[in-house]
Formats: sequence, C-alpha cells, structure tokens
Amino acid sequence: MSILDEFRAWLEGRSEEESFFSGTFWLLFSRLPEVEFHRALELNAVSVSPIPAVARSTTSTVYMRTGNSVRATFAELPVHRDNFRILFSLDKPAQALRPMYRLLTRTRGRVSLFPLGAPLVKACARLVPGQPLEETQVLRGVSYPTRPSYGGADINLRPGNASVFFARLREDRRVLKTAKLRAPTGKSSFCEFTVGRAGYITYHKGTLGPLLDLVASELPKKLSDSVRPFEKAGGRFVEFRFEEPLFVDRTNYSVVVDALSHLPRTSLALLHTNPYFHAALTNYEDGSEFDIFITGHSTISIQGREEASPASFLRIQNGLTEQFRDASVSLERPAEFGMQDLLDGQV
Amino acid sequence: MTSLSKAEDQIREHFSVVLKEYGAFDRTLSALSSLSFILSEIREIAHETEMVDFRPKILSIDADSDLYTPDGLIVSKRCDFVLELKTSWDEKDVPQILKYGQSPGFILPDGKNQAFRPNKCVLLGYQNPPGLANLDSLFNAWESHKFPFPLVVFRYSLESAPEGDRMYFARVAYARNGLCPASKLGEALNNPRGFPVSADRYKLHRSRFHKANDQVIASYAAVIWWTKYVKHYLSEEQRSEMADRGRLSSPLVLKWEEINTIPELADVKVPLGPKDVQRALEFLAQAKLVSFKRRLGAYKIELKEDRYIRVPRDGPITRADAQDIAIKILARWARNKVKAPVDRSRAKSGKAGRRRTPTRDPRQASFF
Repeated sequence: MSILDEFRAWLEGRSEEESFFSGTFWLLFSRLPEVEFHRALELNAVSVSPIPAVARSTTSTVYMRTGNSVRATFAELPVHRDNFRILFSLDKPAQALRPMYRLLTRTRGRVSLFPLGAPLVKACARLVPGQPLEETQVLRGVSYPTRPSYGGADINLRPGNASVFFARLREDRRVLKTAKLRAPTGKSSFCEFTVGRAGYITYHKGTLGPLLDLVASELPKKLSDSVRPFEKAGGRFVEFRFEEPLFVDRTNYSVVVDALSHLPRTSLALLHTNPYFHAALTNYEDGSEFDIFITGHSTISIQGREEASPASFLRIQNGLTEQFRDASVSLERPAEFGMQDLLDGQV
Repeated sequence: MTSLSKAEDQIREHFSVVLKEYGAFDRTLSALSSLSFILSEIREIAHETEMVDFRPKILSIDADSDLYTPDGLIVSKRCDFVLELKTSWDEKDVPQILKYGQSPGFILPDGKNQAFRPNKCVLLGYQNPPGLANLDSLFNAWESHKFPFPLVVFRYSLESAPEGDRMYFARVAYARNGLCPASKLGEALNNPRGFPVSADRYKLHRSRFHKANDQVIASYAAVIWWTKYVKHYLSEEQRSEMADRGRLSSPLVLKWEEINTIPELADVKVPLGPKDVQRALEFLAQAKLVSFKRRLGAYKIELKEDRYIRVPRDGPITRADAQDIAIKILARWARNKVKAPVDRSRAKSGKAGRRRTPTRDPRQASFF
C-alpha cells in the first residue's frame, strides 16, 4: 500500500463520518527549492500527524478588526512535479482561503496559488477517461456576471449537467468562481468535489481514487505545461499576438480594459490610450505587477515586474482568452539593431 | 445659470491646462525611454557607451554650491554627453545650460569625482523648439563663455505613423547650433533627417522612468503614485485582505512622517522621491481622492478592488476618455479646484496636529 493509498483510505473514511466534509487540496506554484519552500511557508516537521503521508504542516491565523480570528492548518502532501506542490487542509475552503492568502503573503510572491480557469475546471469534471461530460452533474456553480464590485452578488447558476453548464458559462462570458461537481467514477460510484478558481480542489464524499489521481498526477502536468511560456519571462515582454489586426480601431482598447478589469482581486489603472495603450495591473492574490502595452495593431505586450509569478501571467491569459480567441503566446525576442537601422527609421 | 456656466468653463480651462502639462511630461519620459533604448540596444552605440546615468550629479564650478542634476549623463568611449530635456523654452534655461557647460566633472556611482574629458557635449532637447530670438539669446550666452565643446539643441516629438507611434529626434536647423563630436550617438543626432524610435521598441524602458531626474509635475506624480506606489504601503494583513476580498475593510492611513519612506520598486531607474510624493498627495487631496486628517497627522486613502474613481457628471470628461485613470484624476482635480477647493489653512494646521497622539487602532495607523 503506497503512502497516498493510505491517505486516500483515511480521507474516504473521514468523509463517511461527517455529513458535510471538506478536505481541500491547495495547488501551489513555486520555483523555490524544497528547503526554501518549507522555510518560506514555515512548514515545520510534525512528529506525529493525524493525517497519513504528512510530514510537515503550518498554521496560519488572520486576526480580524472585529477581534475575531480565523485559523487554518495546512499540511504538505508528498506530491511534487516541476514547480507544482500541494498543501492539504481540513477546513472549508471559504474559511481557509484567507489564512492561505496570509500564508502566501509572507512569501512575497515566491509561492502562489495556481489559478484554475474554466477550461481546467472543465477538464476536472471528467474523472474517468472517456466518460461523457453529460454524466457529470454540477450541484452548484458560482460565477461572476461582471466584476463583483459592480453591484452584483455572485450568481448561482442552475445545477445541471456539466456539458450544458460549461457551454452556458462560455456563451454568457461569466467568470467561474467555484463549481461543485458530482462525477461518476464507475458504474455505480461517484465522487463529489468542488473546484475553486483561486486554485484549490475540495473533496466532499464518494470514491476518492480518481480525484486523487487527477490532483497528484494529471493536473500537475497540465498546470506545469500551462505556465511554461511564462516561467522564462523574467523582465521580458510576453506577447499575445492575434491573427486579426484588432487594434486598428482604438475603440477595441475598451474590450481589453474590460477583459483585464474582469480579473478578480486586481486593480487596473489605464495610464493612457493615446497615443498608445499603457495600463498598470496589480494582482493582489500574489502581489504580481504588470505593465500592459498595445503599440501595434495585433499584439498585447505584457511585462511583469521582477517578482511577477507565472501563475499570475496565467490569470491574465485566462482573462484575455475569455474575450479574444486565437492568441498565440510568445516571449518577445530581444531585438538586434544596428546604426543603419536607426538612421533608416527602422527602429 | 450664468454662474453655473462660468464655473463649468473654469473647470474645462483648468482641466485643459493640466492635461496638456501632463501629456507633455509623459512625452518627456517617453523621450528618455527612447534614448535609454538606443543607448543599450543599438549595437554600435551600446558598444561605445561606457556609462549611462539618468540620475546623474554633476559638480558645480563653485565647490560650495549644490550639485547639478541634469536629466542624463552618457559617458561614451570618445565623448561625455550631458543631457537635459525640456518641454518648451524658459528664460531660466540659459543659466542652467551655462552651469552644465561650466561643470568640471561628475560623481561616479562609487561616490568619487571624475573630471569631464575635453571632448564634452551638452545636449538640450525641446518638445517645442524655441523661436529664433530665444535661440539667439541662448547661443549668445553660450558663445560668450567660449566653451571648447558644443551645445546641441534638438527637438523630440511623439508622432503617429502608419506602422505605429514613434518618438522622433532631430537636431534643430539653426546656423549656430552645435554638432555632436565624433561618436555613434553623435552621428545619430547629427543626422540631417533625424531618427525615430517606435513606441513598440522603447516600451520596454518606459516603466523605468517615473520622472525626469530633477523634477516631476504634481499631476504626473499624483497619477504615478496612485497607480504604482500606493499598494506598496500595505501591511501583510492588508495584503492578505486585498487578496481575499479585493478591498480593505477600512481606509489605509499613511502617517505624515511615513511619506519620506518611499517603497523601492524593482527595475525603476528614476523613481519618485519624498518631495515628489508630498506633491502627489497634495494634488490627490485637491482632487478629493485623499483626505488629510489633521488630528491624525495622516493621509487617509480609500483602497478598493479597482480603486474606482468616480467623476462627477459635470466633469470635463468625454466618454472616449472615461476609462483613463489619469484623465479621471485630472478631471476630479479641476472640478474640485473650482467647486470645492481645499482649505489650505486647515492643511497647514494639520502639520501641527501630527504631534497629537493617534487614537486609532495601531495596525491601521501604519499605512493607508
């Protein structure tokens, strides 16, 4: 019996004991080596852990102005692929999210949550290969019709099958916040879990095995692949290039602003649109900062500040792809120019 | 009705003036970015360039005087360039440029003094080149000092071209204008057709300049501080609250004495200084985006998810501009300048008030 099998059996057992059980897997991105990662998150060794497979954990507390506090304990699971790591908690995600952000704030952007855009959530809805998406039920979906601050409460979409749910989400251009799913894992078995856009998956009940496989092996690969273009960015520009010359008409700038403003927990300041588009964007989820330029007709160029995380680039990409299709992502190549290019007006 | 219309006219006038000033300063920073780009990315120029400093300090001729702070110092293999960029002509330009001409040397990054080489050149750029009479007075003064090196006046302007916007540099066609000494940068500036640098190229360097070396206009300081600096004052608790909720449950309070501690921003070559931040906060206070609390001796700032700025309906803003944060801040400033000006006497007494003991939650008092 492998260590994760032991963990699976223990978690399934716990879920049977409680009517509303939550065991949350927090999907983290960090380029820190293991020792540094442990130090940054203050993950201390535990001699005896109630959770199998756990050797280190940390507790994060947030003191509210009301005098109350919220606390959550996060345990490290032995799953590590490239820059992907997993913490696990037994608190409800709504209660643990704030302590999680508190924990990440300590690392000053060196560890961040992996955002799960709608395509990845959709990929999570199929736990068994070849299983029709229609057979997965969405028990509860929460999405943003627009920015939460624009007066709208989160909207609960009507539960239904996952295929219809995701099609409607795309048509209505909503930003998915959480989706509680009930996915078949066999002829008469299922797994009930919630996927959160912020970067977590919460197991509630049912057969855990396929979900654990997803979290421990399939998802890390997908997530690692998705951030690869952004990992090498450094201070260079990441270019989102479109096939059509979208920005010949400068009124299209407002669509870009809408797309970027749509990103939750960000602030966007449009410095100017004339003569060219220049905006500053901060993602408070991991403190990443970006300068965004449109200086040509078909390219959006994004420059991350020093500590901008690849996960944060991914959030921006998710936001842009909800508005525009077919953007190819690449790093700007260092330009090489000579004196004659300058004098010929080619620079 | 007449007084209402008069007030609106005044708002539009203030707005128009401050917007022009803001745009001109923005172009100056774009020109600095363009020069920064060519100095590091044009192969032959980069090869020849030994040191570039956009916050240089050069020595005054009188050892007891303050150091001078031009906008740039470029030490190339063959020549030392002192750079100054202006929006338009000012009578004070003449003594300033003469001082740069007289300066015997500059301060190296390690703090040591270094004498200028004989092959020196003063570069003076204008967005709006001076008229003939002003150029005459400038060169009369320059030539009267018999400097053994040239003063080169050039213009820089942001132009729209079919392939995108570009910053264009060209030496001013004036008979007495100097020619740059033999060097690759000089060759570019001496080129009769000038040279452009596209916005697509210089954008990489654009975020490095928050001001020119010796000054920033208050409106620009306000916008750049609001958009780039303010978030760095957040405590860890407040950062996690922003990450979780996208807004703070209470205003951020920035105490008077904390203004002098400017957050360091990565990769910014010319950041705002304490005086710039003070001017920014005064401008934002006039725009009613920040309030000065004299009992606390602190500025209070509401920080929300998008730090949304509401512009009153009768503000001088068109729908096309409506999303531009600089326009919003300037429009609010212009409107409040006419309709609800800040009581300066209260602001002054606020300084005295800072000596009082704060009565608020100490966690809140640390920042916004």
